[in-house]
Amino acid sequence: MERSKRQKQRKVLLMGRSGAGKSSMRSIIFSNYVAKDVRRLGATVDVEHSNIRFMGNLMLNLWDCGGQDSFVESYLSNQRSHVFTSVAVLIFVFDISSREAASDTLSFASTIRALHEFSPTSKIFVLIHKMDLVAPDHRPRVVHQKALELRATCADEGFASQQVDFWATSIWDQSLYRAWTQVIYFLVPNASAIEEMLGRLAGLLEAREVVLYERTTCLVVTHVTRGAEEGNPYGDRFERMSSILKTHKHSTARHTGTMASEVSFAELQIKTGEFMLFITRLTENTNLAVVMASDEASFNAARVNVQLARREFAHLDIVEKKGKDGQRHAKGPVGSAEEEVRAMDDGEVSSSGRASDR
Amino acid sequence: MLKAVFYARFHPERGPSVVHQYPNGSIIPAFADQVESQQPLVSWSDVSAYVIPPYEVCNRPFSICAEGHRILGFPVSLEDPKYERNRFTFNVCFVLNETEDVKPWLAAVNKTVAFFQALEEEDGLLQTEEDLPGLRWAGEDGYPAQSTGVVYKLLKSIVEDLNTYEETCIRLNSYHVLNLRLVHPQPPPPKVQAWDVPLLIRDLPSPEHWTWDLTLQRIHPYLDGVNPIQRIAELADVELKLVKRAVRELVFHHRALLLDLFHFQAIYTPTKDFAWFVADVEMQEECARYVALPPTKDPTPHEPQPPISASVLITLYTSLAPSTPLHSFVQTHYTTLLTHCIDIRRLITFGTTKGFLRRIYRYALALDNNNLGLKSQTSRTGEGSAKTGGSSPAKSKSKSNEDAVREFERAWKRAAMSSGWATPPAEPPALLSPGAGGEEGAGREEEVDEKLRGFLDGRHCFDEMRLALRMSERELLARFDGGRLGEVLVFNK
Repeated sequence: MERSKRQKQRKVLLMGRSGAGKSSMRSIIFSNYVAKDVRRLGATVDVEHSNIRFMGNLMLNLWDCGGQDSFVESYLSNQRSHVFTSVAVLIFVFDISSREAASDTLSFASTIRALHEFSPTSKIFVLIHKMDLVAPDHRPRVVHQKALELRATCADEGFASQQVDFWATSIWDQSLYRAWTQVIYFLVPNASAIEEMLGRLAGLLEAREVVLYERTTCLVVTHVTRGAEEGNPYGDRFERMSSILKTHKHSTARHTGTMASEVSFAELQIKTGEFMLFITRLTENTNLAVVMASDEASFNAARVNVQLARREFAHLDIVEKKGKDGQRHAKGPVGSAEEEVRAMDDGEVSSSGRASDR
Repeated sequence: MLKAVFYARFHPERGPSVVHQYPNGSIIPAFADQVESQQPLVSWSDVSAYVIPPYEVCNRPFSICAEGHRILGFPVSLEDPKYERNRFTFNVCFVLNETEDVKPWLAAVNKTVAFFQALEEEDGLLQTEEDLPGLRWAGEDGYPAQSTGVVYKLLKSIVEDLNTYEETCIRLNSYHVLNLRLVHPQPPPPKVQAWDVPLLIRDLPSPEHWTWDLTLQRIHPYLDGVNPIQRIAELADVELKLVKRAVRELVFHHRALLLDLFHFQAIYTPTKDFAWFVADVEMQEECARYVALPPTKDPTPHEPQPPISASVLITLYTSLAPSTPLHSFVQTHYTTLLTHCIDIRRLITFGTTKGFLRRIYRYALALDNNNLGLKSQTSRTGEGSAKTGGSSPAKSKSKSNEDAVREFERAWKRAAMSSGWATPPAEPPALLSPGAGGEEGAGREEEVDEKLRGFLDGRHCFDEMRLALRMSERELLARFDGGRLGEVLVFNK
């Protein structure tokens, strides 16, 4: 019972017209489907509920709602309060190739009207999907137009503009991961605490970039970029990483004859003349990718430090706590993190041999 | 009675929807009060989740009760990449009253759905039907488009035929035929005894239309409601076993009734259903007609006999009691019976067939332990009750006629089938041979007593004993009084 209190439950509605691509996205991100497998999926009958554990302390109640007319009617009428109460995030999927854009918009309007009635503080992510069917040079214009129109609709129904985000997606490239990363980032309960700790760690490692991602979905939770790295022109490198890691998972599964969900590696290292990268396990559910300068000594030092740091990051993932300490520990990560980082500083071997300032 | 039938499917854009329904308006309200439509029996949105359920639950019988109606269905989900969204899910449902017995309908639903599935798998008829330009869906204007598609006609025939004839044979084309029949589960036919009297209640179909088997041909003239089965077997010269089987068939198909053996020592009494007779005027009139004897030939023509009044009948019936054997009843009411020209046998028969008169049977139970103690083979100590004691003689030497015959036949069969060709027994062991020489009188008496003893366990009624031993009741009672069988308790049940 206490576990469920510590574990944050978040209700996420996944809605849109029938055939928009909701179940396909869900199966690619959470069920290790490959893009071409989703052709075999059948239509969702009524609502498909999945409970997805994310990073140990976040439980996503994902409601994949069937988009057929009769189901939508039912959600908006006799199931209205049951569906739209306590919603944290609504993900609405638009099929850009749909011929009935006007009725799609109307359907969207009725949905968010119902949402506003029961969960006015929820966040809306609008995914403009199947972008691969639009010619590349038309894409920005099409997305912009659609977003403008839909923003007006949202405003009409009483949602502030910061409550609504728009993303263009396609299952055939990394844009899918980008959108979902944003959704997850919004939902993860202690994102800022994690970022802070990562920032300190990055500083201590003197790393160029540090990326934390969830192991099963390969979605990037957060990242820290330092110094010159901020000039990196590849702004979409994080979702690309997600996509590459997912593909790597699938090909490992294929070559070793196991399931994609069971594939894992202990450590991955890439060393070039320009940079050095290693990916290793950080917590039970997450991996850390660290980009260092091309220096053997600092690279190895960083690896050792990350090993030592694991212990401290484990707090972020913890689910089970005992009785009265529960309250105290809940505030723990922020408070004790400082102490722990201090401890880290004492114990670390710095590359230049200097004891760190204290 | 089938209230409605509908065909629903999961449409990729509309979701679960009813495509066809008969009668119009039974599930989806008809468009703007069309002619020949009715009010919906159930609300579609309530039951749609169960008519088209998730795929994992499909392909098995699935039904739901709502608003006093039972919807029997069998959702089918066909997986194939040729379909949009890779699946074709449909259901054909029968709507019945909730209280109706479901068993005959389950088989019909399964068969109908299998038929539809074959239509789709083999010819894709269901999918192509929806692509037909003239097709109207249930609830749309102009539904039903009678000339388009096959499903509506199919549903209509099913409802009309099953309600009228309880069976149907619908032919779509040379290889798609749907045969349905509602089979009501029947209880097994009752065991027929040698002392039961069959009475034909319906005419048998004439020999041109329906072949009578040999047994039936032989016994038919004797099926008059007076002869017991044993007598019929003798008169028609047919084996008792065969007569019993034939009569059982007749009873099972509701063409004959079994009555009790009528004689004047019998005892009858009214049952609680008699109240029904008293209240029902029609039945009283029917009774009056049935029991009236045809008027005797009178030279003076006078007005036709007045019908027997109900009060007379009721008085007569109510004076039947467990203490009154029929002969004393007749003597008491002799004048009444005579003035009204009432046939006493028909009076009784009417009562027993309608169920408000009950025959009380007499049984005999031998109580004497001494006699039985000697007979029992196993060392059963004296506290063996009369019943257990009574049954062992039945197993030992003295057997009833029928048992002896059966044993003999079995022994003969066994001998005949064994490859060594053992000598079959010459004659039935315990049968009385008429020409038994020697101490005939005393010997025969002994044998009869032995046979009688076999019936004295309280389970064989007097009718059975009388038929088996060919003795009248008076003779039986005389034997009991004779004391050779020990103390015998006679009781009525």
